[in-house]
Amino acid sequence: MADDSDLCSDYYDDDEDDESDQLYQVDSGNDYLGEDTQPEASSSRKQEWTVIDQCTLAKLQNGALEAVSGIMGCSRSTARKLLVHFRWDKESLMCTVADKGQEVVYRAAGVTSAVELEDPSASMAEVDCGSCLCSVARNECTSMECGHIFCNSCWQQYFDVQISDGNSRRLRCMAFRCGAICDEGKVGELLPDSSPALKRYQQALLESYIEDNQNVRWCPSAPHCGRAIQVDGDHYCEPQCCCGLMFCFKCGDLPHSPATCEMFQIWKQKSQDDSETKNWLCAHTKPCPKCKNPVEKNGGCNLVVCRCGQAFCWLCGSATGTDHTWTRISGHECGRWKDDMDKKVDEASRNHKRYMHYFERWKGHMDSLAKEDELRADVLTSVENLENADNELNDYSWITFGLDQVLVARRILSSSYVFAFFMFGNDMFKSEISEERNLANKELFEDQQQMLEAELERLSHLLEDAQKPANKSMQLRMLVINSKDSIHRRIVNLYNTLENDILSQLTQSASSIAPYTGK
Amino acid sequence: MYGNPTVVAMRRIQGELRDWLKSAPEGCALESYDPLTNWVIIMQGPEGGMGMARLYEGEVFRLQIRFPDRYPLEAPEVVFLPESPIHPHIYTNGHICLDILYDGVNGGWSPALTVSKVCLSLRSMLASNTDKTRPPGDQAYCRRVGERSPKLTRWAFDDDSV
Repeated sequence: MADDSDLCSDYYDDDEDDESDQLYQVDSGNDYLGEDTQPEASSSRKQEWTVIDQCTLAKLQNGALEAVSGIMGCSRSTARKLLVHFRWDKESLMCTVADKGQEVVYRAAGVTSAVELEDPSASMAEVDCGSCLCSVARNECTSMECGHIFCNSCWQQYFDVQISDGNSRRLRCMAFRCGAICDEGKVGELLPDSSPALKRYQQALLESYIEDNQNVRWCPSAPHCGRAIQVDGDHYCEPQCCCGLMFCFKCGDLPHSPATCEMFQIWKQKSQDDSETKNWLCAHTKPCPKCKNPVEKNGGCNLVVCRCGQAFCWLCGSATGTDHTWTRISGHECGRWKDDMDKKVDEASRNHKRYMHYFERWKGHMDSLAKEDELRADVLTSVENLENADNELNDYSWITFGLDQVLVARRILSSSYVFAFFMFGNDMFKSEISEERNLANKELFEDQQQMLEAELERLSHLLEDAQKPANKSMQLRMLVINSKDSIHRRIVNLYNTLENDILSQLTQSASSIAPYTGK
Repeated sequence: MYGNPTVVAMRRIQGELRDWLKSAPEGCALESYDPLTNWVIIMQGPEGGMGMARLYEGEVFRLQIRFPDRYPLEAPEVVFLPESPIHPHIYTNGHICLDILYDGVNGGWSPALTVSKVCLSLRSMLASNTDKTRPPGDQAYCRRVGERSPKLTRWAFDDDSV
């Protein structure tokens, strides 16, 4: 975990300065979540990530550039061309060089030109610039590393256009079919100091480390906090930025483990659009045969009259007259259709109920999470006050740790309902897992889930007690610490069940999830 | 952008015109250059010989060049006026699928190219052709782009053989 942000707090000199610093201080207490994170838990997958801000960005990039220029024995500028071409993947660069030879790699990355130079004009006093077609004094011309020479003013205008078109990272020589990338030092000399183009160029080079790099992602915070996260190791993880935002590195969305990225995307869609409204309508209403508006049955008799005045039979949906008895509609007979209609209605109703079951639990825990998250700031202040005031028992970190465990568990529990919705009794994995097996998995999973839920509610309650001043007893402290450990163990068990017993039975690669990394 | 060329662009176009009038590329003649940013060039179909097929011998084509304001940093707009040569890389509406005519990441335009060099490339493109057909999807493409500039089309230059 990079923790250099206090080194750089002076980088942000705008209004957001105070706010971001404050947020950072709040969150620095949270570092224990990641600092010595070696998940004793379910997974042996490597889990490491680094927060990158403007300061660390330059440092990390320099590190990578120096490593490559050291090994390859080339200039920094060349190292950058190579790394941009290989998306900052050092290993892949080295392997390709070993495989195909340096010359091929250099040409592909635009280090050297693809065309031979026709006339070396170095000795001439004047140069015919191939772009403006004018004769220009030699000292007002510049040749790039590929040897192509143009007048300074043409280079300048060319760079201006290319940079404003967003080609900073692949700024090629002007010569026809040359393909060599212009030397960054020479670009810097040719563009006037403090010109917007030069600034943009340098920033683009710097940000290449983030944008062209498969191991780095911008923090998706909005408004953007200006930081990025680098992951070394497994991309299935849920890093937390210094701004406090936690996200799934794989899909960039809110954290959702143990639900997979795919599950979460569908779930989000489902919970936002009105597909469930439609399900409800399908289960509880029928279209009027005349005006086609949905009609809900609100009485006992099967003769329904729409607002438009049309009467119809609730059982089969066809138009009828209005004469009826309690058992039948006069002149209408549809008994043999009943089974079929009921089946369809039953299924829609069952699906809707099932979805609502999972949705309510997911939503409930998400709401609690939001409240507990709000509570966190207050708790931190009151813990600080207590630690300053009370000399006898001056360590109240157990409250903070307990609350952090609640937040982690809450998020996981909430997502576990999304997971369960798709995993059990849904079509998503129908082809991969037998019905009996899935039913057994469901029992297993729900046992773990319910145990976690019970303990989580207990700890949440204990922490509420801890907020009352009279209750800071040693006994409460022990209860909280024990409950916190117990929750941790239960999460580990839940993930063990998930990864070893359930997901391991699937073959789809999309069923990977971020492992639990608490301690 | 067209119609308001920079000083550099005007100087460069004048330079190219001077060079062209001194020695025009083989088989090409300038029909008009008024305004200076809009040229029409007469191009004769290349003769056969040296094992080349005589697909375009005796035919005459008209090529229109429009210089953008940022020329030569931006590629000129080059199209054949009707009737355009029948060629697997030339559409009925005169649009030409040739990378050196376009900017962008996969375009091959360079400020070091000139109209004269472009004409030579186009003539050699005709001369080396062996299959006198329109590109696949010609009609659909022409309908879709209408009067739009070929520079707005996303070209895929995958075939260097013709």
